[in-house]
Amino acid sequence: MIASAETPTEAQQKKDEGKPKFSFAAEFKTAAEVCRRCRKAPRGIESAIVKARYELDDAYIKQDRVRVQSILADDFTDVWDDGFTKNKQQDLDSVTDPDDRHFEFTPFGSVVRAYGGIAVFIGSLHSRGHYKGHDYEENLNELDVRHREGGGWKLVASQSVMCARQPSQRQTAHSSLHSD
Amino acid sequence: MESETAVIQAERGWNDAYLRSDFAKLKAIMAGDYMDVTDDGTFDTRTTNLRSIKSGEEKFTALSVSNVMTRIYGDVAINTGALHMELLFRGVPSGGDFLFTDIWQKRKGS
Repeated sequence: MIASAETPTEAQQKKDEGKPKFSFAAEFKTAAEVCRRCRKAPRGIESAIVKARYELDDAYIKQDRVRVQSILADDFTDVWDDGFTKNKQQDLDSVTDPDDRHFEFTPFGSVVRAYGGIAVFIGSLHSRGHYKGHDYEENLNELDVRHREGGGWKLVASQSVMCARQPSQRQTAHSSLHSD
Repeated sequence: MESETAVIQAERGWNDAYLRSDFAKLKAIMAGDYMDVTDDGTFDTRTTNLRSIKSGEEKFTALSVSNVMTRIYGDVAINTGALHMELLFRGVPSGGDFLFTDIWQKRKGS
């Protein structure tokens, strides 16, 4: 359980078991909540996209440059919350950077939609990592566009925005992060 | 190339509809399952987006895109680029410069 601004009671801890291991104070609706009545991708595509997401996240965490290279489309574009942009080569260059590490990606409240050979993932994710000498922990809203190529789903475009719900200040104290 | 031009024109037409607060045109351009990952960290749908235009809560005074790159995959196009936006939100000036990723799908010929 990640530390939160208020110390949870034992009953609350039990209630929270099985839920994502982070909490928020502000009112916020996930993409899945906002998009309840929207058309969604067939289940087979949805599970393939979720799996593809997991594989890419895992490759980043393990700094597996070869796997990242095979997942990103050649014309991949990435836009970050701070206006920073990356193409495939720039992204690959960062994969093995010891000062740009990823430790965790936990998606929540996502929606997948498919349009022919294109699948769109919209959702939030909890992310922890290390960048330029500092550990960080944040929640991001993300838009991913994937294109079906050679039997797989290549990531064509990704854009992230800082989520309206962020971990509390105390949650950024990394000593308490992995008691599970 | 012709298709790319059409998609960029659609992007500009969309912005133009916002500038004119043209509710009918916006509704025609935005798909029923339109969804927006907004810069304030929330999600928006066509319904909530258009509600703020119709009510006058949001009034755009400047909208322009630049450095637009279009990629086309069958009936789907992805536009990435920069957006300059100025608006009045509940009468208070707001806006700024943003980067965007927009996904368009050709439906019923447009």
